[in-house]
Amino acid sequence: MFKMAAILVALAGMVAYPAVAQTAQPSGAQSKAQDNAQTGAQQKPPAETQAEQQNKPTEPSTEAAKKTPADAKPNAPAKVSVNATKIPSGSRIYVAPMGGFENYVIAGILKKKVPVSVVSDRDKAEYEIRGAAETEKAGWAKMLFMGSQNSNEQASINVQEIKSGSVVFAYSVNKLNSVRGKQSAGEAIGKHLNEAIGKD
Amino acid sequence: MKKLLLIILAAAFCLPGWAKDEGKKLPAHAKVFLAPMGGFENDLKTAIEKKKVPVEIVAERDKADFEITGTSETEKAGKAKKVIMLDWHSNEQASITVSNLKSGEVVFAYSVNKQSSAHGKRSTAEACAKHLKDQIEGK
Repeated sequence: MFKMAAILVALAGMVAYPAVAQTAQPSGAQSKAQDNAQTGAQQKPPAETQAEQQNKPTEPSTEAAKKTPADAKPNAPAKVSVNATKIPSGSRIYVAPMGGFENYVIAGILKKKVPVSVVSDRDKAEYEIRGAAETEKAGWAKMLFMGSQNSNEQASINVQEIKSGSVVFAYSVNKLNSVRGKQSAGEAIGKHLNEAIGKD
Repeated sequence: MKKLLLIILAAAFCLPGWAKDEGKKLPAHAKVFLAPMGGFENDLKTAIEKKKVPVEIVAERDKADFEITGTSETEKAGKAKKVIMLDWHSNEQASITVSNLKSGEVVFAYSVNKQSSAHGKRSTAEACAKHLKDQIEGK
């Protein structure tokens, strides 16, 4: 009965997805394993049987077969670690002018207790934060229909090593209906910068 | 004798760290210069005096140990806000940074956002001054 079901599933998979079926292993292995599970379970310990079943190539399940390469692509995260190297803890960072937003970034870094030292002189720094920020103020329609006067904020920063010029960290944030305006964006940057700092 | 030696060793290890932290703090009665911030520096100066922040404000940058830089934005209530929300107050946001002029290190930074601020820039300036005072007093 199990054999019959396995053969039917394999056939259905081959008909629906011939390309996947070509690369997949024949279903004989699975049926053998099922045979072992039914008949040879008494001879082999159950743990060994399970391990054998896991190691043996099996027919892709229908759910796995339905997954196309496009589906398998993970969603692009907002934070992109450009280089694998982390920013060392205690590094001196200079925040370049961003039309006033640099003050919010510095405040965010200090509030989130990022283990770096922010300096106001570029020559004394090892890393530099550059970026841009935009604010979209609430219009009359938003106030009328949504009853909200909060602005939309978006900002993007990148951290560069001054000596080599390589980008070691980049992050962008978009906040709809930001209650605290630029302060929220600055603190989000500080929070995520924490992840890029090597804690040793 | 051994105890004394241990205490001296412990103190020798602790002192550099303590000194390092001290350098990152804004000391009381430090000479502070307020950099131009599009008029916000006047509000901040008034707020620092009102909140009795223990710093000495100097008019010349060369005579100062620390510098306060920052930015301030005001969003006045538009017609829509007045008609729909029945609110005449402005939205204010400001951010300040205090840096050591000698070492170039940032010792304090604070940002504030006030929606429908009752007293406009005065409110944000007083919030900055209040938090600056807390930092100096170690609260």
